[in-house]
Amino acid sequence: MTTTTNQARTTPLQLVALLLPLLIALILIVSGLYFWSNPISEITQENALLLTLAGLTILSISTYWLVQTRKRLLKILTAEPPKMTTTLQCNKCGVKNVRDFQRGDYIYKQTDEACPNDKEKMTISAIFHEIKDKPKETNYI
Amino acid sequence: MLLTIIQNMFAQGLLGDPASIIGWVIFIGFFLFSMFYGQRLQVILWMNDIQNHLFRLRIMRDEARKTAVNNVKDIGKLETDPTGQIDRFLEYFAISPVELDPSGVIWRLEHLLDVRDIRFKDDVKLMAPKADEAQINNMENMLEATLALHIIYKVIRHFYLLGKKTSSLYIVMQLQMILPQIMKEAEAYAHAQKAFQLGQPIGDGAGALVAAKLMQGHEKTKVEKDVVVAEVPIEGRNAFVLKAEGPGGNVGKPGEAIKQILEQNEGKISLAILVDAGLKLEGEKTGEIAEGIGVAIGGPEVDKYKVEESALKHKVPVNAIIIKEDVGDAVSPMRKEITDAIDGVIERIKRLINERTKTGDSIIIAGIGNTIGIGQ
Repeated sequence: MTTTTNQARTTPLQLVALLLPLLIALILIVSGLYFWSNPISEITQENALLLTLAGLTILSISTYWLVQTRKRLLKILTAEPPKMTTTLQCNKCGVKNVRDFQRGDYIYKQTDEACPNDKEKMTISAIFHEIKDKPKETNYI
Repeated sequence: MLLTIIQNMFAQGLLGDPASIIGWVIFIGFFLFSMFYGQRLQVILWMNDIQNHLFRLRIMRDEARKTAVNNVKDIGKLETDPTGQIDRFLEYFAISPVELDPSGVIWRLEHLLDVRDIRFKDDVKLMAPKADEAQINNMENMLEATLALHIIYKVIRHFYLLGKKTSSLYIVMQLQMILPQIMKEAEAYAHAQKAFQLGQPIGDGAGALVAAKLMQGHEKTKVEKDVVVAEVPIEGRNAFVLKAEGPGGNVGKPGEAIKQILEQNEGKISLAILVDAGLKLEGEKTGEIAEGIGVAIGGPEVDKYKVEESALKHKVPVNAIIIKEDVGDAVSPMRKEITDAIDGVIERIKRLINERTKTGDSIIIAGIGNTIGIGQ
């Protein structure tokens, strides 16, 4: 298996797709601002303003797209494993103690941790992670 | 000459306003472009999307490989670099048996699966000779999750390059359409790899967890390969409760164990209940419980076949209880909803026993699934 680095190679097409909207946006903004301060008969101040607005729109869409792409990549690179919780239970009095998962924990393992009530050794009764689902707006489907 | 003619046509007003002409040219040009190059443009957009996904898959594969190497180094307390051995492991393949002559295909498949299992375990033992049995099982599962990620990456890359080479709309289109599902599966494997590394229970272990809870406080005996059985009195019946031996990552051979129990009891079993994790449909809730009939055992179907054969021979009714979860949950660390469903499943088992059997009968309760992170 060949070892690969996690750096994406940018193809010429991607480079054009990345730079072209920025270039167009820049041209539109600069020309819009120029004609706004120096209007000519064909390009009035209103038209110049429209040009600037069009440039700004293209610029914001491109920026949003770039940020989203970067976010998606960062999400993968910095993905944290789900936080696991271990529940310990006393077999005698049934008292439960919840803590973070530790390496070596498994369900029905008798731990060295003592019950706060009767000092009995506690058993791991559950290991899980909780996902807080967003409440659904509708239950019609 | 041509320019003079056009100039004259404009002068006579035959072509109308020059600005509207430009508009028409742009419109017709756009129409022609979409007619001849629209499909190609669509392929380029899809290829770009696939390339982005492929890049994410490569990151996942590389991260998983790095984790596997570090884990083997840590647990095996190695001074040498196991990267070469792991890379060799990631290129393993298994050839399925001949199906042209279906007679005995199950036994041939079982043999191949056994050989594969032994080979995997031996290789892991060679990689980390100081690891104990549970750690070896966990490491084997972890490497299998890495192998799954590696295969997903390679297959997607294959079709991506094939689509690029042939510029085939249909290859690219099919690939782009199934990518969301594949990405979901790949992300689940990436999570599973971390769970296996730490020995955390996974969603697939729901059945094993039910059996483990039932057999608490009762004597367990090891029967068929990596399966433990306990005789548990439930509602006045004698229940043979079985599961794969934990807490290492293991599915055991529940089919063979059930067959053995049936034969040892000369078929005098009134009911067999198999509990497993089942795939939920979109819209259903994780942790929902459903009942049915049949053998609830997934995988390569060798165990399912054995249970069906033995149940038919001894005329034992086979019931199934499933805990619903999606494919991602099945290989990811266990969710709270699944843990919470365990008591509900036990209630259902008791109800089934009361409805379907008489006091003093013998029954089998099998908890199916990977028992990683679940003792007994």
